[in-house]
Amino acid sequence: MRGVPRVLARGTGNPPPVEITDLLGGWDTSGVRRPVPVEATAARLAASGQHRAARLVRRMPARDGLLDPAAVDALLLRVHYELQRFEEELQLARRIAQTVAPWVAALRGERPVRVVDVGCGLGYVLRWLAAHDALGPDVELVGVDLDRRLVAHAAELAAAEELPCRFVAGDAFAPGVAAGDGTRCVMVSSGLLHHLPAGELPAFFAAQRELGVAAFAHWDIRPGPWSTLGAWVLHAARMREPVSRHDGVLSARRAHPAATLLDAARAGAPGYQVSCADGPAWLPRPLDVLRPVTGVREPAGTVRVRP
Amino acid sequence: MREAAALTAIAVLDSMFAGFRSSLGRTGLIRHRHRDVLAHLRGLALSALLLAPVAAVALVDVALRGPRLAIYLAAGRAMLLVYLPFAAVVLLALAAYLVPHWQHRFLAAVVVLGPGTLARPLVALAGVAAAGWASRDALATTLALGAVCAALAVEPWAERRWYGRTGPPGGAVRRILGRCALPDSPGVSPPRSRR
Ligand SMILES: C[S@@+](CC[C@H](N)C(=O)[O-])C[C@H]1O[C@@H](n2cnc3c(N)ncnc32)[C@H](O)[C@@H]1O
Repeated sequence: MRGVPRVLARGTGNPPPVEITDLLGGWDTSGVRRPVPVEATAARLAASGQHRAARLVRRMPARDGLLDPAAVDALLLRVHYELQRFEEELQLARRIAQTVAPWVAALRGERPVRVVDVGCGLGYVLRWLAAHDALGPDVELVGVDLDRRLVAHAAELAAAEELPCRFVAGDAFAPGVAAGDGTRCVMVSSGLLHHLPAGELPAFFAAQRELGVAAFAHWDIRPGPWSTLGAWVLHAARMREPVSRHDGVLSARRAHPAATLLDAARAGAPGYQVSCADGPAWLPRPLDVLRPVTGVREPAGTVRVRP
Repeated sequence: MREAAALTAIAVLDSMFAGFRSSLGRTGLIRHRHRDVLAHLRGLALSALLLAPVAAVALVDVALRGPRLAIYLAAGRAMLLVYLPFAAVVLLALAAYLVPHWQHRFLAAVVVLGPGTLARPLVALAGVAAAGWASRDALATTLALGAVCAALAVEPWAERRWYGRTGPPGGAVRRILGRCALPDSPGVSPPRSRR
């Protein structure tokens, strides 16, 4: 998982809070899950004051000071299954369909349009789009995730319901992995941006520009006191895994504000018309608890005057 | 006896929702209506099993000591005073699922049903306190507490019994679900994996 080893490496002084699952993921290039040392992981969490999270890690099954990889796999799956249920309640896939459908319609032509879900996890969004035929014909739905285990499960779930979408393990931004002909590709993600430190966001958007994608929409929590409160209530009510509860609330707390996302998107993807809006943080806007940062490639030759 | 009927109706609805909640976030399926119905029925069956002893004791008590019926009715009325407004709010929120706009479903889930799940044990216990206060009877209060504990046990029990494992359903269920493809998704084909 992106950011994980870096976070561990950076763990001196008073590091920022980190999600437990950020510290558990990670695959090396040969496709083997990286070993997770119990004490270093718990110490990293404790260093940012996450003592409950540290206790949760210490209680996980371990052998020779390393977390049991099978138990980590099982836990990550349970967390993602719960996350899917949560996203269902948040109507995430419907929101994404509403944003992406007009882009797909505009791109429709002789060759299929591809919609790539970066960091697809269990592929809920794409499987939903496929099940509801939400984007119309001639659309390839491709989910990509660094976590092979999640990708395998996403494929299994799609097969169980015979859904026309596919899933690939790897880095979504590596050439040849997912985007295909970038000009006919729309990239989306959900719940991914807050896993990246603000400093890495421009590179995230730049990677999509390099692939030449036609448009992107990356969904994440709109930060603010109401989102944090809502995340706490809903995770306490809906999630059974303590790790899900911990990470869910922290996601809301560390989500990037619209201004940060906009700056990063402008810096990383010049030539795209980007937008993202939060409104005042004090205003409870439950419908907008999830919102995208979007970018649409401007036609060649467009001259933009920045305010 | 309207009290008993109303409390039974609330128990039936509550147990079905409890069964439903226990199943969510476990199968990963997109089309899960069949599984939802099954989960509702499982919740109902578990609650019937758990509530039967409580109901039996109350019925035997009333059969043996007729005048005690008034005590149970007073306890039941007090419980309804607590539960009916809560149930009304929940049912109103569920009505949002009947309207076509996803925004209403979202608001119902996030603003009412989620917090409602969190408040449910407290509301349930408040009903027991009300029953105790209104009846001032140890057995009636104990039975009210027993009924509430039974209702609260449905969700975790159903989860342990049927939904402890995550993953797409296998075997027969998968075959049935495979045949139940939505009419609006023609041409479905097995996913091609590039791995
Ligand atoms: C919190 S999960 C979100 C999962 C999913 N979108 C959901 O909403 O259920 C973030 C996922 O992004 C994946 N990820 C991060 N960077 C990636 C990249 N460059 N390519 C593919 N997957 C990536 C991680 O492996 C992780 O599984």
